[in-house]
Parts: sequence; C-alpha cells; structure tokens
Amino acid sequence: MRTIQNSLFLWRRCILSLLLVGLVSIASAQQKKVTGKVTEFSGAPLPGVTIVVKGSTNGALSDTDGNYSIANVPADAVLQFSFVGMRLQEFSVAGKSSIDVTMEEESTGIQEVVAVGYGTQKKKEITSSIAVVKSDEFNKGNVNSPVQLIQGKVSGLSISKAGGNPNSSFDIRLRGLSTIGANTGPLIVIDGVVGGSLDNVDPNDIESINVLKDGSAAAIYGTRGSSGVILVTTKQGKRNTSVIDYNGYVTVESIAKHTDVMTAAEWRALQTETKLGTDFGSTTDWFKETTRQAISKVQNISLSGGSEKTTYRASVNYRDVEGVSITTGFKQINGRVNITQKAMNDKLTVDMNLSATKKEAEYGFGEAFKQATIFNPTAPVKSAEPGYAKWNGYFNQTLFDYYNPVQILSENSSKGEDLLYNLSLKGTYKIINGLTIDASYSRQGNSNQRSEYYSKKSFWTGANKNGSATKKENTGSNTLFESTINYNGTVAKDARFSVLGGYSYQDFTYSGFDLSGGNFLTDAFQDNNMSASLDFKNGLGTVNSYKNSEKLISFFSRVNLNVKDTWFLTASARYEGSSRFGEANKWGIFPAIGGGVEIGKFLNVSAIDNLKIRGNYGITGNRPSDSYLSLLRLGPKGNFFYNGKFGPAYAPVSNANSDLKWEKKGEIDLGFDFSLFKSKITGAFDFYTRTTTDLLFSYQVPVPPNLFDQAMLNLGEIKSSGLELAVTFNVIQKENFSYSTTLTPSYNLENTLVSLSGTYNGAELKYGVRDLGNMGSPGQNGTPLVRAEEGKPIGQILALQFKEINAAGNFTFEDLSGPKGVPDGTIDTYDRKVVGNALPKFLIGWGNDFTFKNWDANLFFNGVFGHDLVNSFRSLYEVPKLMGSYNLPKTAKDIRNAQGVLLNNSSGVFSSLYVENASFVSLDNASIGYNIKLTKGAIVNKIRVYAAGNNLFYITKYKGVDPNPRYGDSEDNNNPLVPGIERRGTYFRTRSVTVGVNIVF
Amino acid sequence: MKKTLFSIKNILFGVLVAALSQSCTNLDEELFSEVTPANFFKTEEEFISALGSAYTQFGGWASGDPQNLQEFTTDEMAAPTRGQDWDDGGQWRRLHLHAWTKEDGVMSGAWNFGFSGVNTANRLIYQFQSLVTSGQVKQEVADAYVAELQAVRGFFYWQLIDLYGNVPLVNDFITAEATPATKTRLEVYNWLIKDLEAAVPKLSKAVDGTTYGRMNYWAGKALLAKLYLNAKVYSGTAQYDLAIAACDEIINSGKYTLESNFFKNFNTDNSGSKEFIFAIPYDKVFFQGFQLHMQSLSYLSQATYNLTAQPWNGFCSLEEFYNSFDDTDLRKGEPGTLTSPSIKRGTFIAGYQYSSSGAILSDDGVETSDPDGKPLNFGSIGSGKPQINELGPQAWRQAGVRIGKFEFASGSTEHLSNDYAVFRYADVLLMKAEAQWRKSGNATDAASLALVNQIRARAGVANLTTLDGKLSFDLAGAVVPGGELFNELGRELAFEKSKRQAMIRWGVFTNVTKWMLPAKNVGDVWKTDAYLTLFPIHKDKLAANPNLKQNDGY
Repeated sequence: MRTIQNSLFLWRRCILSLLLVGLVSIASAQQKKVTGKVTEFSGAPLPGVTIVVKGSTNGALSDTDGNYSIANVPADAVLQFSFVGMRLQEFSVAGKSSIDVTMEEESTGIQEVVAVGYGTQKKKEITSSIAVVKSDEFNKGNVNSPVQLIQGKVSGLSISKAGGNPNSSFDIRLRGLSTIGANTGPLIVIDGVVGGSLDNVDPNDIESINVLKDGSAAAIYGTRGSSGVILVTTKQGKRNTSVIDYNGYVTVESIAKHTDVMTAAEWRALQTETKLGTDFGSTTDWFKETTRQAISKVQNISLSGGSEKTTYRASVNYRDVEGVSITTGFKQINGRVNITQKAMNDKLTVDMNLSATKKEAEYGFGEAFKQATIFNPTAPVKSAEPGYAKWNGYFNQTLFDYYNPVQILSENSSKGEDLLYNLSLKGTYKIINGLTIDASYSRQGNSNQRSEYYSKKSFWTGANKNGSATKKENTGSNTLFESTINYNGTVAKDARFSVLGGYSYQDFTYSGFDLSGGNFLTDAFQDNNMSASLDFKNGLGTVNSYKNSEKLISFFSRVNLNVKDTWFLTASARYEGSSRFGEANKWGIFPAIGGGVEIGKFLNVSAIDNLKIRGNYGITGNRPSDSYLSLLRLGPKGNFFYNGKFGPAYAPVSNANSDLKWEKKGEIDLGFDFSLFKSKITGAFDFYTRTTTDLLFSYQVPVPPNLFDQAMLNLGEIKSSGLELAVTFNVIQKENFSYSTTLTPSYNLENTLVSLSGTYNGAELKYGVRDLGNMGSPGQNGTPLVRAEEGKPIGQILALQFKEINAAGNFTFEDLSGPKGVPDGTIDTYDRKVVGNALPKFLIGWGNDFTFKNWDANLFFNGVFGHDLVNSFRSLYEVPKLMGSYNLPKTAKDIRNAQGVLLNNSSGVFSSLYVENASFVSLDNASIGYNIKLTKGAIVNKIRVYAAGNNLFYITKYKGVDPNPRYGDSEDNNNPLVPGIERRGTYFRTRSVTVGVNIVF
Repeated sequence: MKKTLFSIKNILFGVLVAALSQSCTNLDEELFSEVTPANFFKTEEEFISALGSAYTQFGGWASGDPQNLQEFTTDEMAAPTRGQDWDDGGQWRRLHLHAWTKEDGVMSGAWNFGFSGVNTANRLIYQFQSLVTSGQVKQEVADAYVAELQAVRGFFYWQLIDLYGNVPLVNDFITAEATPATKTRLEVYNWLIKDLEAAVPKLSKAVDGTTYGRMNYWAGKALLAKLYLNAKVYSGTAQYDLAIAACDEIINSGKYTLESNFFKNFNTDNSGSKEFIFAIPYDKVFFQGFQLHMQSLSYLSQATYNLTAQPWNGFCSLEEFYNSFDDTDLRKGEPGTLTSPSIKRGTFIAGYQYSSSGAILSDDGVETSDPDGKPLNFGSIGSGKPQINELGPQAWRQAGVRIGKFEFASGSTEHLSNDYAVFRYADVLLMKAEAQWRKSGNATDAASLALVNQIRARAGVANLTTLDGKLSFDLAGAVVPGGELFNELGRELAFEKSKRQAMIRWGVFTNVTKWMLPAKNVGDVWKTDAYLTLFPIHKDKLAANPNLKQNDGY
C-alpha cells in the first residue's frame, strides 16, 4: 500500500502545488501558519497527506519526511487530514501553531484494503467476489474450529456438520458442487502459506477470514482454487504497544436431538399388541446411559506489542472439550508466535511465524449412537446373572447387529494424537519506491496417531478375538518456497497499475503404517504392546506401511489497472505443473480477467455513495487426490501356492491412465458492490455460473482390455449457477445504542450433472443413469437411494412412492412403470421415482448486532431450505414386526392401516415415506456481553464478560437427528454424488451455553 | 546506494539459486511403496510372483458371485428373508425365483470374476513372451508358463460362456480392442477348445507339491471334460466321446483315487487329498475368500464354533434337497436333538444347536410363529413343520438347514482354511458315467452304473440298478431319464457349483416351480422362461462398452 502511495505522491503534489500557489495569494494576512508532522501509526513519516482548512480550499501536502506547513490558518479553524486508505481526521487549531498527527488506517468501506491471493488490494479496485469477515463479526460462543467463526456469514459458503461430534470436521462447500472426484473443500491459505491446515490455527488467534469466491479471484492459486480459497490472517502485534490479552470460557453442552424411540412403557404397550420381543423387566433410557452434560474449558492468553522496528504476538491456547457422548472429547494445546522485523533502513521486512498444535482426542464409536437408539428399553445395562460375567456383567443378546451401547463405549477405546506444526519465514525487500521483491519458505507437517482397542470382554467386536488392537500412524509434510516481485507505477495521469510476478514450489511427502492384531492374554496393554498379540505369532496380524510424494510447481503473474478510481481491470495467470499427471499433461494454464466500473461517479444520486459493477471470468483447476495414477505400478497382491508353499503374487494395483490431466473449471461472476446513505446500507450482489470439465472421476471401464473395471479419468461436465446477496443495514447508530443487521441469502439456480460420458482409450463411455448409495443391513442391502443422471441435478433421492398400508397389513406402493415402460402390476426397481432433492436450494444467514451503553448483544439465525434427507433410522426400524429384535422409533406405533391395524407383515422397504423435508431455521448463536467500565490508569485496560448460546433451537419438520444437509455419503468416502442420507451413526445434535471473560492488560 | 545495490543483487541471486536448486520444473514421480515394470522382473522370484497374480484371481470362486449364480439359482441354496434380514432389495429372492435383472450387482460381480481372470492371464502371457523377446527368459521356460496361463484363462472363459454365453473374445493383451464386441457362445467355445487342446499337452503331468493349487495336465483334461460334457449346451453339438476320452485319461493315469472318507475332501486340513485334480488353496492368512461359515451359520452359532466374528444367518439349503439324501447316507449327517448335539458330521447342519461347551443355544429374537420356540433348531427338524416356512418376507430366523459340507474349524476367523476343489476325481467318475449314458441312452449300462456305484458305496448307500428315476425335487412327478444319476450328482457334488449346469443339461433349469418356496413378498414373481439359462450382462458393463450385446430376453 505504501508503495502505491509513494508513487502517487509526486504527481499529486504537482497538481496541488499549482492550486496552492493561487490560493495562498488570496489568503488573509492576519491568519497564522500551522506546521507539524504526519506519521503512520507505527511512527514512520507519512508523505503525501492532504491537509485542508475545513470549509476552504486552503491546503497543503506533507513532504517526504511527513512535515507540512500551511499558512493563513484562522485561529478557530479546523484542519482536515486525509490520505488514501486512512481515516479522515479533523483537528481544531484552537490557537496552536503546531499540530502533529498520527494517521490511522481505514478499516471499513471502499478504502479498505483486502487480502487477495499473493498480496492486498483496495476494496474499491477489486473486480471479483471476495467476502471479508473480521474478528468483530465472528460467531461467538462455543467455537472450536476456525470455520465456525464464519458459519453463515458468507453468502454462498455453506459450512455444516451433522451432529455435535467435537472431533468431526465441517463440510465446507462454496457455491455448491464444482467437482465430484477431486477435492470438494476450499484451499486454505494461512498468512500467505498455501495449503495450510485449519487444525493448526486456534480461532482465538484469527484477525480476519477472506473468502475468494469466484474463479477470477481464485485463479491466481490455479490448480487448487476450484472449490474456492479461504485466506486466514492471524493477529499481529502493533508498534509501540504492549498488550496482554486473556480469554477464557466454559461451555456446557447437552443433547438437543436424537431419534425418538419408544420408552420402556411404550415398548411394553406395543408388545402386548404384537407379542414380539422379550421384556427383560428393566427400564433403561439408553440415551441417558451413553451421554452426559459435557463441560468444556477454553483458555487463551496472548502477548503482543512492538517497538519501532519489531512487532510480535505470541499466544497459547488450551482447549479441554468434552463431547456429550461419554468417552468422546479432546484436549488441545496450541501455540503461535508471529514476529515482524524491519532492517536495512526499513527496506527489508522479515516475517516469521511459528505455530504448533497437539491434540489428544477420544473419538468414541458412532456405533453407540445407533445401538442406543435400537437397544431394547426393557433390558438392563448390567446383569448379575452369571451368564453375563464373561461380558463384564453387561447385558447382551445375540441378534444381528445388536450390541449394548454402554459397553461399546466403556469397554473399548478409540483414541488419537495429532501433532501439527508450521514454520514460515518471509523476507520482503523494497528495492526502490514501487518495486519490492520477496521470498518465503515454509514447512508444514502433521503426524496423526490412531489407536483402537476392543476388550476381551466386549461383546461387540473384541470378545471372540480375545482382545483386538489397532494402531496407525500417518505423517505428512510439505515444503513451500515462493518468491514474488511487485511493481506499482503509473502509465499516465490518473492511471495506476501494479504488476506481480511469482514462482512457487511445493513438495509433499506422506507416509504411514498400521498394525492390527488380537488374541491377547490381558486387556492391560491395549495398543501399547503389539508384540503381546498372539495374532502376530500366528500370522493373523496385519501390518501395512506406505510412502508417497507429490510436487507442485508454478509461475504466476497478475496485473491490476486503476483509471481515475473509476475503471478497474485485473488480469492474472498461473502456469502450474503437478507430478500427479501423465507425462504429456503435467502443466496447465489458469488465466483470469475481470473488470469493474464505479458507476456511482456517473450517477449524480446523493443516496449512492458507491456503486461498482463488476464482471470477470477465471479458470481454476483441480488435481486428483492420489499420486501415481498415471503410472503402471505393481505391488504384492495376495499369495499363491508354489512348490508346496505360499509365495507372494505381484500384480498391477490399478489401471494406469497416462493421459491424466487437470480438471478445469471456468466461472463467470457478475455483480455489484454498493454503499448507500453514507454507508448506512452496504453490500454486494453476485450472479455466478460455473462449468467444470474434464472431471476427475473413477469411471467404470471395460475389462478387457483394461486391467480393472475402474479407472481415474477426465470426463464429463458439471454446471452450477446461483445468486448471492450480502447486505448490512446499520439501522441505528447512536452513541448509546446501535443496531445493525446483516443478511446473507444465496440461491442455487442449478447444480447439474451435465455429462459423465466421453472417450477413453478409444472406448465410448456412456454414464447415463446410475443409482447409487445403499441403505444397508438389516435387510435393505442393494437398495439404492440416490440417482446420478446426466442432464439432471445432483442429489436426486430415489424411492418407491408409498401408497398405503393395505387391509392385509402390507405396505403398498405406486406401480409407476415396468420393463416395458408401462405399469406392469408388480412393484420393482422400475417403480422408483425421484422423491426428493438432497442439496439445499436456498441458504440464508441473518445476523443482528446490538450495543447499548456497555452492553453488546448478537443474534444469529441460520436458514437452509429446499433439501431433503433420507431418514435411515425410520426406513430400517419403523417396522412394528422388528420389535422382536430392536427398539423402534415412536412413529412405528402409528404404522397402521386405515382400520387401525398395525403393519404386521411387510419388511422395511425404503420408500418416499422416509424421505423428509429437512429445511430448517436455527438460532445458530446468540450472545450478550458487558464491558466493565474501568477508571483511567487502572492496571487492567478492559474487562468483558459474556454469555453465549449455540444451536439454541431448530425449527424443522425433519424427524431425524440433524437436518443439516449431507454433502456426501459417510458410508461411501463422502462420495459427493450420494448426498442427502442421514446414517445411523450420526452423533446426536447438541446445544450449548457458554460463559466467558476477556481481560486485556 | 552502492551497498543497497549490492544487497539487491544478493537477494535476487539468492532467490534464483533457491528456485533452481529446488529443481525448478522437474515433475517426475518418485515411488516408494510400489514398483513399476521398469524396476521389477529382474529375478526368477519376481517372474514367479507375477505368475501368482493369475491364481489370486480364483479367490472369488468359493464364496463370491460365481457361487451366487451357480448355486442360488438351484434347489441347493436359498437366502430367505428373515424378518428384515436378507431382504436386500429382493436380490437374493430374485436369484432363487429366477427373476434376476440386469441391474443386480451379482451380474457384474461374476462378469468381473471371469474377465479379470482372462485379462490377467492375457497380460502375463504377453509379459512372458516379451521377456523371451528381450532375452531375459528362455523360450522353453516361458512356454510352460504360457501354457499354464492358457489353461487358467480357459477356466475363466469356461465360466463366462457358461454363465453369460455370448461374451467378447479377447486373447491378446496388447492388441485388445478398446471396446471388444460380443462374440457368439459357439465362436468362443470353438476358440477355447482349440486353445486348450494346444496348451494342455504342454502342462506338467506331475501330481505333487510342484503342481498343487495350479493348472497341471490333469486339471487341463478335467476342464476339457467339463467343456465336452456341456458341449451340446455351449455349441449345439454333443461331444460325449471326447468327454469320455478326457475322463479316461485321468482315470487311467492312476494318479487319483477316491478318498475312503468322503469328508477328507472338505476338512480344514484337506490339502493334498488324493481326489483333488485342481483345488484352490484357501487359507485364513495367505489366501482369503472362503466364507461359507459366515454366509450360512446363525448369529448364535458363533458360540458353537468359537468364531472370531458373528456369522450372518443367511444361506441355507432347501427341504427337498435335504430329503433327497437317505438317512443312512454318510454324506447327510445327523440333526442335533433337544437332548444332545449332532454327533455325525454331514453335508448339512440341521436340528438343535449347542455351544462349544455343550449348552443348547437359545434365540431371543425367535418369531412367535416359529414352531420350536427359542432353542435354535435349524430347519425345524422334528417339528413336522416345513424347514423353510417361506422365502419371505416372514421366514423364520431359524429356517432352513445350514451348509456343513466343509468343516468349520473351532476358532475360525472370517476366512476358512479349507482348500476348495474345483475338479475332483469323484466328479470325473460322474462325468464319465453321464457321458456314457447320454451317448448310449441306456439307463442300465453296467459301466456307467459301476462308476456311480463306486461313489454310492463310499457314501454307504445301496447300489443303483438304473440311472432313471424321479427327480429329487419332484418326487410326485414322472420318472425322468437319468433322474437317479442327476440326484446322485446333486448329493455328491452339493455346493461344489455343478448343479446349475446339470439342471440345464437335464433341461429342468427353467422349470423350477416344483421346488419353489412360497414367496409372499409384494412384487415377487417366478420366472420360467427359456432364455434364463443365460444371465444378463449388467447394465454398467453395457454402459462401459457399447459393443456388448445383451442376451435375449433381458
């Protein structure tokens, strides 16, 4: 920013000087001269600042040392100090002859400077769709992941998680789905480090989060920009300050929703009718037995400050988080140090960031949620009967897929330890005014350990294995080297430009191993002494290890043009290569161009402060998630009998696709940014349409000639488009009371699987219609749930159309078609139809911020509309005759025919009955805070106490656990073509209340 | 100023060096945990390991989709829908009802089994030939391997033409078309016979550890015998003389003989049975995939066999088939009673079941309609009620006698270690008997009866005096030519994937309603059309290859 200002300085001074000569000559002689020095917040002199006597044309500019001198100033005058990107300041002269001023950076409005890829840009010059969320706008309360901070705040960005599992991550989807076989989550850039891990940033340390939404903004990140880019900026120290900041809060979390099943009394009542199942005489609430009120404690302390040449910020974060399911939660400690130092006459700036996180987690078992829901409510948790002694007294029954949930959680364990680190170093050198060069190096790494132990006495999975242990370790690291050169200059009067050129090199290495074996003499070791597992002695233990690597190399460039602060143009390109592609297709080019016009300058409407229309086009890419797919590789694949003993068999591990190349997404974004009534109403509107071609996807290919029937290919096309609005209305802004409200609606116009067909090795591959997903056991294997069909939207939920329960007590369904395309009197696969849509149509966030004297409050509502969910629990268990084996949803009692006869014959059959509208509105977070008034000179500068609630309520018709959309199938590697299924292992939905304090010293 | 310029140069230079030293544009991939053909095939062990991948393809034979197509579609096996269990969209019932569709996953699985086998053999033949060209392997060494691979490929093609009839013919790895077109069953059969007749003489005649679990000369002959015996079905022209000749060569070699104990062939430690001509050496560690105990046993049976996992309570056998064994037949086995567990091992596991410590097993989830209540009783033996009350949707959890032909070792994991015979000497005897009878049409032919009676004698049942008789699943029906032979073949080779072929040869495969279980599920229909002797090509396969032609009727 400074460099632009310096280059502007000369010509501006020329113009103004001429003006001043004229002005000075008509100035009154009785007025006196005022001098002073203008500095930046850091104390550095600020040249080029315009100083004007308010209400006159009398003015001056500060010189290269920041000094100014202005003559003929009336004694009662007010001086106005203005500078691009800085807040306008006014000072009363009040007889003084010397006024020194420290300029402060403008933090809002169109003068705002926004982080973009590889640098910053003034908001007014931006020609693409970039959302900025600052720390004061972040979601409050029980926030354990950085993405929660902006959940609902960015129009078009969906951040969701089903259930309250503290250890599961959020699904992040920007503008729907733009890829199906590659990475569906956005690229994370933390303080300029590309491909950073959000797990290594504590939410407390984040200053702002920017989302590069369109293809043009993301194209500078080329191959990793297709699913959007999220830029995270962490907090930095400020010059000439010294601050200690403490944050601490306690959260109490409880279950908000699980599938409602019959109580013991209800179960007994139904049993008298069905005569099925065994009443074991107890009354057990399995939800109560497997859950708790979870208490979490979070503490953060940071030290920050700086001198003239150095700024620093160091922080430590500690999180002790419990999950509502017993034996789930994590403890995490994270540290971060950011240091910036200037040297060589301030021409050189060195930034150093270090961060590390250690997380110890207990995961529990999703199976326990399912079993707590279906376990017999008349069964005791434990029984003194001798038969149960071998299960440690836990009651169990031998039925298919049926295990005591308390025992699952308390006798077995699933734990993990994650270690993450990041080290980065960056040097920026100002060669001459306007020309800088920088180089940065960073290294990131992670190691994840997972261990599971199933006890000898657990009926579930360890028992007959005589104890069973698994231990895994995966490590990954990457090295990033980048260098850029920047030049800011002018082409002509009123026409400024900046040019960026850069090189980036990143290599990745992943490796890991896992061991699993059982047959232990004692449960004492768990996974800590695998040599005690007799399975290894008997050849039954399994051992695996792997290592792979990847490289990304790129050259990139960007040009920005600003003509008269009215016409803006941005063009960029990235030329990038990845080792993962076929020999001839390693490199790809990803260009972008965008333009904007500040038409507010042409419309002479006083209500309009700014109105910028903009449009752009950009191409981004995606690479496959695995290395080596272009190579023919061999590996050990089983054994065979050779000369009387087993020997290893080596065979290809997959089809090789030597033509593998980038997946490409082209996106057009048209929009406008506006500010009305002196920033009372501000916002942005966008229309986008994006088309992804050469989709990376594992396709079915013919065998022979191919070795396997699946190959990773580039075929097909998907398309999505939508509308986004973000508007903030500062309704009231009084000294003692303010209220502002923000709405972020987005509407998905289309999300279409245009084609998944194409040619591979001369073979015409036709995708057509595929029915995917599977309801599963008991009894609904081979029951597809979602249809992927060329030319149709993604996420069509497919089912038989339920008609009624007939007199005989059977489900009946509509006979819609048959093999010949007409109803044929039988109900079969031909009678399925699209009965739901898995992906939401309309999303909206609604934020409300209030301040009243020392109080502040916020209410944030979240609405997601137009999506359906498959309720697996109901489909599998809402069948009265199954009460012989399982507890059933309360709704099972109502599965009767018109005469009130209970459904008594049919098995569970997946139908439209179980596809539910899952639209919802939730009070996502609400908070109230009080800033304690402190007397000047107190040892404490600020104390704020607050209370917050998260997910306080949901308004929805959905009967399952959590109405949030499912973007992929949790039982199929999160396959994005199979969205919309709520599986039985879903962690119960929770709500939480937090109280906290923030103290600044 | 000078100093500044100097440092600029330094920085620029530093950047440049850093960029270049990171090998600025090299994107070659480095492998760590896999090999490529470029750094493999250097030693003899490495060649042999490649050959091994031809045999790992057999892993899906015992319990995979070949079983589902060859046995579920007959009177040997069914998976009734027990409560909710085994409904699975009706796919198991459809197999039994002959109402399968081109969308059923099993149609894809068996196709993959066949063509992966073919393709792997093609690839290895090509590799061995190119190793000869490059001078790494001598011609005569390669020839033996290539002939063996041809025989392996022959087995997979046999299954493909047996199940699907008309399939693409791809016999060269390099020149294979991208989307090979369907050839007629006759064309593929003719090529296959020619290919095998050329290759089999080059195979090893040794019957010992060097050829155990591999395609030797005799396995090649047995495969040819199977093809000739079914030649009428495959090609329209009977080849009984050729079938007899192939069987004779095996019989007269003196290399094989019937084991005195029938179950020697099916025990956990059955490796090296004198009856095995070609067996798949399943092993719980080295060669996984044999899971009959998991598929068939009840959840509660985990306690009987101390299994490390809970079985799936699925596959069982039909009442008519169970009853086609005389009670004195050593192969049948005895049911457990309310007072004691079964003491005689058999093809079936029937009656009351006990834990390994001798306690009767009790089923809390039993249906109120089940006649014997909670004690676990496979097939309701002794209750006078049907063994399987219905095919679905309300089949009892305990319905159906289970399949016990193979020993389920106590403490088994999810994978059995019993070897699984693909070709067994008893099968050769029966093939020869059938070919002679079909050739002569004489049901009392002494030579044929003698062969069948060898097998009956071992089973402890009286000699047959005629091959004609009523079919086991239609005792109310007429005497059928070769009916007794058909029944004997069923008993001896039960669950060894011979039944569907026999039913087709006897012309009774599409007339199955005689042994159909009552199916009450909405939408269940029986089908008896002639086209059902061939299975459909799965729709995904058709989508992946437009040159495939769907079989008639689908």
